Amino acid sequence: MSSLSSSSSGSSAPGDLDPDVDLGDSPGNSAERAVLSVFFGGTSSSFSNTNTHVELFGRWASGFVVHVSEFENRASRECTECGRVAPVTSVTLSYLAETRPRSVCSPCLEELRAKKLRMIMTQQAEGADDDAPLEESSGGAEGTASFKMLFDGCGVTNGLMGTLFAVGLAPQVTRVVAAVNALLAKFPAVTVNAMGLSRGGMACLMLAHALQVTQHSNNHLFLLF
Amino acid sequence: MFISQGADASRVALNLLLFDPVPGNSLTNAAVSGRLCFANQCMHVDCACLARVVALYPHEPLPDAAFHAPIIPRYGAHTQVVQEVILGCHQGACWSTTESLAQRLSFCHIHETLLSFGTAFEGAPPVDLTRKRVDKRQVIADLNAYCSKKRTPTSRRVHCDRSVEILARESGTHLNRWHMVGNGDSEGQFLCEIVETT
Repeated sequence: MSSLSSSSSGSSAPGDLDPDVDLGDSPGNSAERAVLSVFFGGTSSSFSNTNTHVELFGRWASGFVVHVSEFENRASRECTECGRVAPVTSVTLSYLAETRPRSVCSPCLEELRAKKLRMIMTQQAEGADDDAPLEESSGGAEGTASFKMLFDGCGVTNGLMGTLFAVGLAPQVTRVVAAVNALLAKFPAVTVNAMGLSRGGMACLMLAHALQVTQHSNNHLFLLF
Repeated sequence: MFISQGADASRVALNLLLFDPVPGNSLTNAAVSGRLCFANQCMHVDCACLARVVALYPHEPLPDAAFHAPIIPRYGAHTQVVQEVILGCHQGACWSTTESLAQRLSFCHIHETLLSFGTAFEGAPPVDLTRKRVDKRQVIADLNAYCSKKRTPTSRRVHCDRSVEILARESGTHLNRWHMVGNGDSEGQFLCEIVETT
């Protein structure tokens, strides 16, 4: 049985989520290589629509979804799940084939994540063939397990600060690095294929910087003038 | 941001597809602000695990006030780099909702590149309209027709530590290297390419 969870501390604010990724007891061990496809949207790109090729290819790419697009909304609004008025996070639940984001408060977001995990585990349990790596998808090269991560543009995730100063790219990159670490613990080798439009392309370059750092270090300071 | 200390970094291979990477800095500010500038922070990308880079740059310039000058970084010697100039302007070349030649061209570029990287796709393209765009032969034929006429030359300034620009000439035998290879040719004058300036 495979599992994948994205853990986050209960006290974290929306949009400031713990990027640790735990692949649990995922089998996929028979695969020799994991292929992680990462799609960084342009500043105003959102995976809640398919306006650009980034979203189109991101959706079309096969693979186990490590990260679904989600973005922060700082305003307090009514949570669509529990009805409580609180700071909400807009989440597009692509694993439920939803195309429009829900506005959910932090506890409900955690519940949705737990639901996603249970759903994934159930699907895997019903997959019958325990020997076959769950993540291996149709069209993938033999011996590879496919994963994907989809990120909205920084203007969508971080509003005006993201639009003007590219705030929000670094946390996205941190999430990818966390996923790479998790995959390295499960697979002999990992190939990361990252595509980015505009500021998303800059996120790709930041990812290259991030992956070359092999020891603890201060995060790069990215300022924009 | 780091790879786990216990992990061997050589087990990671990174491939990048950059579609008009734009830092959002003004060219003037980037020239004087050094490492404080986002563009300059990403100017040198010498990552040991960076295997391939395919960078696509639309040739049409946007006004300077839009701060949409793209970046052409310097990569490590071990990285296989392909930089192509394509049709269209910035995000306009990447729209998936219309069917201009620029958008079909970028679709073919992206599709081929991601497949060569090892990204798998499930079934047909998710949008019915895009099925037409996958026809590379039609795109090549349209590019042949495009290059047969004289065009308005354009140049696009970039963030780069060398003196280069994105140039579209008045005429050329092929749009870019991808077009030339698609035509089965081995040489020609490119209509659009990145050139060094004096």
